[in-house]
Amino acid sequence: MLPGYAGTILRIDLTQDKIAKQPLPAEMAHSFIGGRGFVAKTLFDELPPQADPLGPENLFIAASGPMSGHFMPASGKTHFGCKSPATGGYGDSNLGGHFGPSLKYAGYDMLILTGRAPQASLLVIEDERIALKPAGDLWGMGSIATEARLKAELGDAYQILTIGPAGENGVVYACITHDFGRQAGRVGIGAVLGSKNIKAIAVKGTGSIPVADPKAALTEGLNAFQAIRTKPGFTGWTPEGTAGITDWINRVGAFPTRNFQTSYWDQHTQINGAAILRELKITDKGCYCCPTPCGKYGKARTGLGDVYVEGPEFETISLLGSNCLIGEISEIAYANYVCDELGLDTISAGVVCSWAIECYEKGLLDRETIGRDVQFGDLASVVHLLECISRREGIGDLLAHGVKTAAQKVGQGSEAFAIHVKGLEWSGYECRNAPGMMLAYMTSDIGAHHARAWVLGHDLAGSSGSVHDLIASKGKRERLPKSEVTGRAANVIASQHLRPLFDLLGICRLQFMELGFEVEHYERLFAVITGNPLSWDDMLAVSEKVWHLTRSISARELQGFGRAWDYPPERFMAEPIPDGPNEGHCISRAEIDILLDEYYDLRGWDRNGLPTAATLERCGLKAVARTMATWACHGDG
Amino acid sequence: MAVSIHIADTIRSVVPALPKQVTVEISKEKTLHEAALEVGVPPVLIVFAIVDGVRKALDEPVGESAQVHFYGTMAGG
Repeated sequence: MLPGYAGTILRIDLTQDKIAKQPLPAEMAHSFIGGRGFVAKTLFDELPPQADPLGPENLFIAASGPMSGHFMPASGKTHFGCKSPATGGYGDSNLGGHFGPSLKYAGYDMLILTGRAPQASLLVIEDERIALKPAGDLWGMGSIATEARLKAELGDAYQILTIGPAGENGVVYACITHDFGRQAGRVGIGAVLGSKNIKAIAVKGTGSIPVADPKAALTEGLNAFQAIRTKPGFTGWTPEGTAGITDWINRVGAFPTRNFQTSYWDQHTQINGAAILRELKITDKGCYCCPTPCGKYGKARTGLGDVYVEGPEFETISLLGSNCLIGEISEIAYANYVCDELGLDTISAGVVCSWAIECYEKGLLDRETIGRDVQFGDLASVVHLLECISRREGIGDLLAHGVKTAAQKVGQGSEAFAIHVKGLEWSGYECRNAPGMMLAYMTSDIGAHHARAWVLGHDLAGSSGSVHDLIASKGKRERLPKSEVTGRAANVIASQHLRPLFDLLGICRLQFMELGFEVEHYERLFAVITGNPLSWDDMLAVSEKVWHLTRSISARELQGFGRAWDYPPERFMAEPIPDGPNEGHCISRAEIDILLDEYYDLRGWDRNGLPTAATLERCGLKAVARTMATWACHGDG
Repeated sequence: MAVSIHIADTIRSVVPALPKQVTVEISKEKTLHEAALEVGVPPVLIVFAIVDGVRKALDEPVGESAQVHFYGTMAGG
């Protein structure tokens, strides 16, 4: 028995229709903790090198963490992993809701799918009973509609994952949806599930999870909930959720606008958290055991129709909103709903749509190719593109490959404003005057994603010798001085260990990272739940190990992987921001090289950005170092 | 008027010299922005302020408040 864990890995070979239940190795739990750690370990060990991301040989992994499903704040996270169809490298993404806890109550820490089902299928897991059922009648349905139907047929006790048409059709930024609005959005995990002919997974668990010290766990859990209630930040933050940062992001000139042409938009007050409360919200919606429900469930009324939708969160406001110049919160919510139902990641979809519209404006894509006139600020244009993408019709077949590949095919300079790193579209923060955050995006292991490291505050503090007079007051658009690029790597690396640690544990980071819930609670809870008294620093060391491992996986999977994959789009290095607080700023290629050199040196990687054998061995990855040597793809030294 | 000002770790991680909590004498006409400057918190780092349990904008006056909390940079989900 492994306290904290369900204790079993569930493996299903969909091609052979074989089910295997394997005890969770104690060594794996101790060395990789859970969640993202389990995903990385399994992909390195079991993914056939050079596998086709949408072929039957790719793995689809769902993994909870040791703290998932326990009585403590926000313990509802589930991690998903695969070889990413968006990047061809390591991929993971996570969602909240209730799926991971239910999987553990059914008895499983991990679910690993291999092969391909012979027909469209629904996977049903009810404790020890596993069934693969024909689901041809669900194929083609929207994600939300599918979940609603399965809830009606199976019952509310089932927690359900679904994909939409985008996942069925191999769109490389297709997502998984759960709980009517929670997504594992990134890296194309929905396309991998679709490639295995799995339309949905339904889980019902009625068991329990062993705990090392149940009495102490109950006490610590209660203490944690009570401590959170005393935090004033929660009362201020919870009403608007993540959308509450919109005004601030705009104020500091980091708001992606018009396909990242600029970083400030006057209409931000029409699409911020207050606008959600004013125009959309019906109720708060939280995940498993969450005392700070950040989901905002509401009704959007637009000229295209009325919809009920969870969201939009800040990332969606940024990429489907300001970046497409959609200036009404109800219209952003409508586009959010369309993405949810079609099974598209709102971040990548927003970047792809804004790129396509800019191509049209510049004459690189014409009306005949796109199927209609499209323009920034027009909801119908965005919805047209989203629908084409999900069905891969017309222009959608090009855009379904993601902005990197689409730009390579269109050419004519469009690569310069295809906003991505490694093929993953850039999320909601413009960084031409935020070099630390730029570096975080460049070196994120899945591509341009914000959740791996967050150092925007350090960038702002470092943009002047005296930070006290940077901006005189709210609403003023004073120009920020240019940020220095040196000395950024250490904070980025620390953040890359800290934030993903929550993805190992299977809990939400918002309470700690954003609102100051004390780390001591997590240490005590981990100890009484697992019986393993790891310090926070011990856990951070595991998180560092996983970081080197994920980089090694991408090095193995991608021909020529290394430094060249870490550069930001040309726009950020060639086009100064035209207006707003960061007017006139951009970052040069020479400055990018300074950032990368400093980062690689501190990481213990070579100057091509590959972990050295010495670094891998220092972190307990000797076997990885040996394997990488056979592939001749780790660094020297 | 004595006001207790609390500074979140998200700000203190950027400006480590700042205290977790400080009590200052400040007139009620001053704005939260001015109060932040008075205790050495860069206003640009404040995403939101909570005053006696209620979220306030930085250009609002401190008023008769007793407890002010400044929260710092955070990712959007």
